Amino acid sequence: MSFRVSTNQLFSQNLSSIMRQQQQSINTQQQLSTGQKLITADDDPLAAVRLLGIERNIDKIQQFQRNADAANMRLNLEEEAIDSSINVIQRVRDLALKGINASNDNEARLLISQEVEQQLSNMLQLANSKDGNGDYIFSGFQGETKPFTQGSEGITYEGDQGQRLIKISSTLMLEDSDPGDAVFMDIEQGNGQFFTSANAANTGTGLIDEGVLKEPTTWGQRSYTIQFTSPTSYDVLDDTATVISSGTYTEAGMISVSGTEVSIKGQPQTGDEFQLDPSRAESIFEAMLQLQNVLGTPQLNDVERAAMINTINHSLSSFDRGIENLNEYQTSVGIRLNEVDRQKSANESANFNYQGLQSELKDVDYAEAITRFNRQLLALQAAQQSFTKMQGISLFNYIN
Amino acid sequence: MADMIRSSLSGVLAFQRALGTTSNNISNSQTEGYNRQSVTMNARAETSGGRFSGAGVYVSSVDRNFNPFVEEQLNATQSEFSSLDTYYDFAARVTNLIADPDLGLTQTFNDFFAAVEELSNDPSSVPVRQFVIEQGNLLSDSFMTFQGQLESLDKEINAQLESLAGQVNIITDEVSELNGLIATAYGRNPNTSPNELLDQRDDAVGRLNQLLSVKTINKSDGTIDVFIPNGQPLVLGNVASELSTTTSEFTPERIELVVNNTSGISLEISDKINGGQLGGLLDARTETVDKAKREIGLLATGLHQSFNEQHALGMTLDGNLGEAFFNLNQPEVRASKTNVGSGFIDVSVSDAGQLDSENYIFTFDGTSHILFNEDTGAVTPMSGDGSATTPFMAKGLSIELTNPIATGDRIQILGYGNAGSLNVAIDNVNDIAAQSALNAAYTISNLGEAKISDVEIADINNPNLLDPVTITFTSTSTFDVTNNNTLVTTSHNYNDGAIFSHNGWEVVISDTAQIGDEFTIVPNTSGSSNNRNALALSSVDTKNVFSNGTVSLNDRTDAIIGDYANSTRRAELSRNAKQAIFEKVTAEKESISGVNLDEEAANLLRFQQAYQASAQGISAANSMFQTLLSALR
Repeated sequence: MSFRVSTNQLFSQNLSSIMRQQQQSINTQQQLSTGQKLITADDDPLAAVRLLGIERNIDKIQQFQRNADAANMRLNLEEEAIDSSINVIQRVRDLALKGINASNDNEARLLISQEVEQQLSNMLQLANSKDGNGDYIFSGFQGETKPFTQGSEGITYEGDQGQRLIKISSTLMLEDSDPGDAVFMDIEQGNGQFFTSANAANTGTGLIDEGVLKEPTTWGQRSYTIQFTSPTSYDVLDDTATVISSGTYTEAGMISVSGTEVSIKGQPQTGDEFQLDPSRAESIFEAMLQLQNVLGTPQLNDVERAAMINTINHSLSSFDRGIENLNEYQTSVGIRLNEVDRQKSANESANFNYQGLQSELKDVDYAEAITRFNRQLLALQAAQQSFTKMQGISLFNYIN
Repeated sequence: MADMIRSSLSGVLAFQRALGTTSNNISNSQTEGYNRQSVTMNARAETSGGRFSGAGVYVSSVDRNFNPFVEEQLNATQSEFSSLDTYYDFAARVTNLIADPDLGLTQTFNDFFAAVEELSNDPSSVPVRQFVIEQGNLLSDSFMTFQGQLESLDKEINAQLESLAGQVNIITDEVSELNGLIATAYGRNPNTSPNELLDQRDDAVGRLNQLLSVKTINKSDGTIDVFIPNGQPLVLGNVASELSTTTSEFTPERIELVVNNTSGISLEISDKINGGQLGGLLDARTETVDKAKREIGLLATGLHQSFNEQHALGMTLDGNLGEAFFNLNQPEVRASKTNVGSGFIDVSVSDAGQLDSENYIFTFDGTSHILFNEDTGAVTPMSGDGSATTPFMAKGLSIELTNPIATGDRIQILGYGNAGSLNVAIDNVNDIAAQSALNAAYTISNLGEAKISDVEIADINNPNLLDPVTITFTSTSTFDVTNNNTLVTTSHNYNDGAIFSHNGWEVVISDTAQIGDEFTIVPNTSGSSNNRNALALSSVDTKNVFSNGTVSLNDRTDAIIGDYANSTRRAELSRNAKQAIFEKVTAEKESISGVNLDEEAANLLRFQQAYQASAQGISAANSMFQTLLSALR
């Protein structure tokens, strides 16, 4: 038996098929006009959730890029400041050598001293550099506090040792600055292990060099004194004033002092003393200030001149250590800048990938969508035409 | 000849009736609920002298073309489809609220945490701090809006329940009334079916199934009884039970359905109803709206707890430890409307990680207090005794008895905060604790190589937490500790790389130290560039806080959205599948009961011809009679 179809059924089935076609073409039309595949989350739940993750990652990466830019700016400023500081120290070092030169009289040295003073104030300005937000670079966490100030106690550090960490990827954080005391004030005196000095009351013209450390364990980080018992002989005393060795003085000869070696030139007198002490942290500003003072003080005789040269030699060592120290930070900043660059390009390529995925999930494929739209319109048209045809015929048309 | 006339006349009458039925079918082709009728004709036989002879035709009945099994199937599919359709409508609305790409949870979460991370780049900047507070407000606003929208969906559901219950009552009245009429009609003439009344009643039952799923039982007197699936009668004969609404046990703003049966007893039947718009609506209420409230409540509670905990570890620009960044009301507690006593409890969240977004009932059985899951009935063991000092503890909640509970009284606890109550507690930009609380430093003149780590806070409540502390090495293997310049520890053994705990914080000193080396731990009172806590705050969204520390805020948000998207998708698919079945069953029913005008046109011709032929029989009999008469003349 064939399936009976009621007239109403015929009508409503045709109508609902037209409505369905219409609904589908509207959906496609909406996709075409928004350019997006997903109209609501429930259209494709899996894609919607993946998309949320991807969009969050894109947001995060963009934030990391902003962080990286901020870190980059501060690190570049720090690098510039350190570069210029090294140049200043080198210039001051040249001035120190010029000051030792015997051809300079007191007046010439005063002029040199004045230039050292000028360079010191340049150095202070560099150490007090600010970043783009007006925060001091070298004051640690105390970004609003001027890190280095000159007062009655010389130049003091007002910052702290804090270091801001900047997140430039989900796993990588790096310091965007270095504390000023470590950069400018943590300079080991002398040769970095110990430093030598001449007693201010010396009556001879003995000049002591910075010495070298031969056996660290024998030395044991202790202080020693070389005491001249005659212009040609000396005793070495340890920090308990016990004589541990004696020797005969020959100009520029090596003197062994408990695992270290120093050399003395010139003519020491009986009772003259030279001192060896473990290095302590010294500030580059102090070293410059010392140089400025000693060059600014007039010299009257060879003994005073020898004392001056001993002091300048000490400063020269400090400048060398200071440059070494700044070089270390320069390298460290350079490494961090490289890291920022590397991470920025890594972030960029990750971002690119995520955006590709995002577009794949979200954006409509126009060629496909337009084809689909045309097909749907055709189907709709066919449904409408067949509907009117079907409605047009009835057996009643033939009953009269 | 007389029998010939009688036969022909019976044919004329029968076909007249058939033509009348066909015209009736044509006239009612657009009538809702009308079932096509057809005429059954039987041959009349007569016996005369022991011999059978044909004596024309008679109309034995005019019947509805009606298949009760198809009708039943149609009603069942109809009720399932309406239920799914209503459910899908609500599920889609809630999902679109949650997953809105611009205003949904993910976006506001992302924006807020991006602002906090921006703060870590420039922790002292007032505009950035202001921005963080604004984004925090936007985040809490979106929670509030969301909660508000869910509550207005609740109101909408309430209104719909009221109106649908009213419609049910109208239809059940109609059914009971028709039952009465049908019983009377059958009583008058048991052999004639009151087709139009039956059509109307079947149509009413069909409409009832759109509202809720019902079962019917046919009675011998032609009436039907109507029941909801648990057996509660809606119509018995010519009496209908009234459906009405009442407030729910714990929440006056929520209504439940009640049936008032003929014996005057009211029964709450919200959880007994399934199918139809009412069933779909009630399902949507618990599965989408209630669930969304629970989920965002839990999310807000987790955010509140984990962000505030981290914020408390940091230092504000004014040099104080961070106060709460977000405020959130404690979980809601509601006494049952049937309670006899006025016992009450105070509930607070003790650990958001243990919350599970369930509702609990707290009750007293006369000897002990019991906590059980409202949905599953599973009893949860509690520690403590309910006093202020040792409150009951269970499921991350702390419960304090503030007023003794009468035996049998019930109190509902929502095991999560109200997301709508989340707000930013801070209005002064200085109060954002972007800085770490304590800074560790070495003294620049130290001879040794030893370095000190960042300070980790282990106990935020230690009263000496912020005391400035100096660690001084008295030998390469021992150090002294001073608090506020007072010597508190002498000759503590130094272990390279070991954790040193003091005043509620921890540091690690490593490498070789020399006599006289000094380290200091001081509060970060003016270090405005310190960004350590901002950094920690910016990753709170990925910190595992839920489900005992296995699920992060981001994971949870994604899971909720995924869950809703999936279940909405599922609802849509089953709705569409049900719709296809519904259409198929409708076609089947129409194929049996629907009017086809072409068919009726054909019948019209057929019956008309038969009518004419029968009339011709009378005329033939007449001329035969005339012939006979003239033959005798």
